[in-house]
Amino acid sequence: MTSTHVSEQNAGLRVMWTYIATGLAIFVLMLLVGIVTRASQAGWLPLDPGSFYSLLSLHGVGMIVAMAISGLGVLWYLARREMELDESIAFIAYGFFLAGTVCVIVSAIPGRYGSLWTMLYPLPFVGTYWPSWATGTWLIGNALVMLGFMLWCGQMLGALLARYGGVRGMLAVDYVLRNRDFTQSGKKPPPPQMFAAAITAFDGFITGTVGLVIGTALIVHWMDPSVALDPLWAKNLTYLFGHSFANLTMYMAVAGIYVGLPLCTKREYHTSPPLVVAWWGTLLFVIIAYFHHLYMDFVQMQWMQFVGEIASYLAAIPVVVVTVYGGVMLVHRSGMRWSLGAMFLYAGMIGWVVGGIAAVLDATIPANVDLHNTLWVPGHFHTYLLEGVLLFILGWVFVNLEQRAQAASGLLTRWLIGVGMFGGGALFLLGFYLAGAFGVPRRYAVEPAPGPFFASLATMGALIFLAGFVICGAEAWRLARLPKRQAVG
Amino acid sequence: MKERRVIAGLVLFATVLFALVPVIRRGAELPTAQHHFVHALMLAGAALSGILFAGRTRGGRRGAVWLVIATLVPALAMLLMWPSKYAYFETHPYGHLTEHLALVVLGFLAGFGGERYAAGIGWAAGIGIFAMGMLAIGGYGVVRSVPNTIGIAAAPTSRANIGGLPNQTRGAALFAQNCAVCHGTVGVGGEGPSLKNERSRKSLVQAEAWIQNPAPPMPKLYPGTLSLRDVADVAGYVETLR
Amino acid sequence: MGNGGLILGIFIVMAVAAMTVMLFLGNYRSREPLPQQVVASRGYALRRYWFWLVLIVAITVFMVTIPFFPYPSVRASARAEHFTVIAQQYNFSLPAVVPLNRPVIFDVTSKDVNHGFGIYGPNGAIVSQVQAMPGYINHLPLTFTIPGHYLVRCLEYCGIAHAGMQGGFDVR
Repeated sequence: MTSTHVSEQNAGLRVMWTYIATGLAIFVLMLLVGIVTRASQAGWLPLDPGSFYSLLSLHGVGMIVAMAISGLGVLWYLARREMELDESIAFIAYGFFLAGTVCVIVSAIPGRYGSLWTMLYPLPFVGTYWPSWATGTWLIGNALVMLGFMLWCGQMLGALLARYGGVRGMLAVDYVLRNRDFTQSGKKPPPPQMFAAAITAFDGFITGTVGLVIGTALIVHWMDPSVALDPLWAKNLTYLFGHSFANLTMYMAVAGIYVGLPLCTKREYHTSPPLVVAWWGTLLFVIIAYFHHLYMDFVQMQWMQFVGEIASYLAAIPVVVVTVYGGVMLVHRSGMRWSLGAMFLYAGMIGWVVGGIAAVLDATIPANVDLHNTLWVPGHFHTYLLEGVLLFILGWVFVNLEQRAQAASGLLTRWLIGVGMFGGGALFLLGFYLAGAFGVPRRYAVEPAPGPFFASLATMGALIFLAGFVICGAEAWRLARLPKRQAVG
Repeated sequence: MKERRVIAGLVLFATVLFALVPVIRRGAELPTAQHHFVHALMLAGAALSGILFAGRTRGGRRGAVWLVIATLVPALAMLLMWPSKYAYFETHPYGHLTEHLALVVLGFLAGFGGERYAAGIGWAAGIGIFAMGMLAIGGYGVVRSVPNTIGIAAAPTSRANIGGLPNQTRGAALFAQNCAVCHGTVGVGGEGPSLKNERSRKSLVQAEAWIQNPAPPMPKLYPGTLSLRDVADVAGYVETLR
Repeated sequence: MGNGGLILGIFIVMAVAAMTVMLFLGNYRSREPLPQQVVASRGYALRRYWFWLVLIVAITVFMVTIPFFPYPSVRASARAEHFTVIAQQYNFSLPAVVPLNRPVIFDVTSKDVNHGFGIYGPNGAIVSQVQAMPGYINHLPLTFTIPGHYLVRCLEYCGIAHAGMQGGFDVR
């Protein structure tokens, strides 16, 4: 019995560390690619526009995949503690992710594909400066990632439905609506991180379906240009898929708050009815918030614009009223030591809120007129991803390493990493926000003034961030090599 | 449990009958959007019968293969729904029939495979494959005809087919708009190569041929942005650069 | 900077406030821990007010911004003077002169791929923008109150020379 339990535990750990190691490896690669593109905009190492857009395309899709793989790994491990999950499916999905990543790298580097990953039809086919096979490889690579993601979601959904008794149980409907009956019958709602898994799987299935519709349509158009698509339809599907997938990476990593922070604070994060209701809201808002990508398409149906703004606002409520609020309550006067893991998780919540404020401002239609497709947009999602999702994942990694070895990092190390990754990160992000406020457009290989000045600020920030990240990597290596003192969790 | 199988069989039978329609209605083709809708209905019927056939699998050993199948078939169905006028499947009645039967098989596999893997996944895959068919109606080979009051044909680059020698003044203006970004303001070079003394490398005809069909990374602007007349004018201007 | 400066100001104030509050709450008297129940009961009591505050602010801001939406109305469209804008890789076909202090509507479309029609005022700030989509016409209503030369930049990624795609018109 014990041995089965150990091997069960090992399956979860194997999947998690494989996913996280791969995700972080892709992250490092894409970080370097991103620095090169920003340095090019700063005029430090000018690239020709073709190479710039190829690298930018690679950076964008690579980063999203890196964050998604890491988050899915953490979530899979946590779900594995609650229910039966087949390791082989996790590795088949992993194979799809890897194959997809290889495809996009081949497409962007030797193939010089340069039309980004949320390309708007008829884009990857008109005015191309790369060979046709690169377009196909890019589209197929993206489709492979989506198929892997849908496999992951299908497995998670199946396990959740079986474990908690259908959609009602998975979403804890009775727990909220008939709370007294539910608790009196001795039942327990799913733990908080399982809502993250449920929403990822549920919305992920929708996202993947939509992604495959537009992906297949583009692949068919690539093979047979006589199949024309409707540009407005394509734009809606592209953003429904792209926005939701990127947004979901945050909700995957949020499990770090639910499980990681309690490990640091020695307190508990329980499921409560408001938490469940908040996740119901998230379930809806993840799917409909994409409307704000089409504010500047006046031909879009008008009600969608109104819903887009209010939904983008209301999407903040689950975050600031429930999840982050709960996270702050966990830490407040808990006597928690600011170990690296705790620091990352807490800073990740701050990054999430700050990125959210920027997003909500941009989702205000009159403000969007000034900010749409300026550098403000990459500003907000880099805040989310770099100072949110990434920190949750690193926080989770460090909490595990610290618990395993019963060791912590020195004050100097923590300061160096903090100054590098938070200070450098802040400088990097400020470059985006300031340039965005000045109206500098995004995705310009050569930016008009004052773009290059802010790009050089941002590049400096990114280099400082990189230095902090290298120290962070060395510290992780040191902690990982310490002898094991105690089992995780 | 026997009743469930009977219902499943009936649903499948009805779906297959529905899929046979093109054989009866030879040649009469529906518009693409309605055709997608018909496909979506077939997929839904087939998926439903697949779900019912699979039955409840709670507690049984789960086959990863079934999940992989249920995940892959919706994308394959989208490929099969390829809405081109030139696709063999759509024009030939028997090809069309084969396509419809293949869609039924794929829809069935989505529902059956999903439900065999785990309870509820057949429904997810079935709703997913139906939703794909429905989404296709919006724009997969379907372009809404929007009244174009602007009249793109009246755009400034429509002075095509005038004939005669290249108008180098006009070519200079077109060059400034379309080419100067990469080749510099008077062809001094930039991201793209310098075009100074281009006439020593290419004749007028060669320059026109190159602009019409350039090698990457130079974008192909003919016939989208530049008309034949524009190409001639730009080439004529380029030949004057020293 | 135009409105961008105002938005940036709001953002910085809100971001610094959020950061300060969270850092304060995380560090406040952290050497004197309290049991979780005590913190939780205080937190839950406060949360109710916090929820209503966020909800009311969200809805209020939404209502306040509605009059400022840039979308055209049918009545305004009939009164205004129309100008055609056609975007294509990599230039704009634009009117040379647009009248001052009179309502105008730009009818914006594209010949090839999606472009953005971004208007930058004489001071360099974005005045307004709309997408240029092939097969569709977006109607952008505007009234210019400042004379001068307005720059037009492409605000949707459209290909290799996206950064160089610009044009301009005079308002007088």
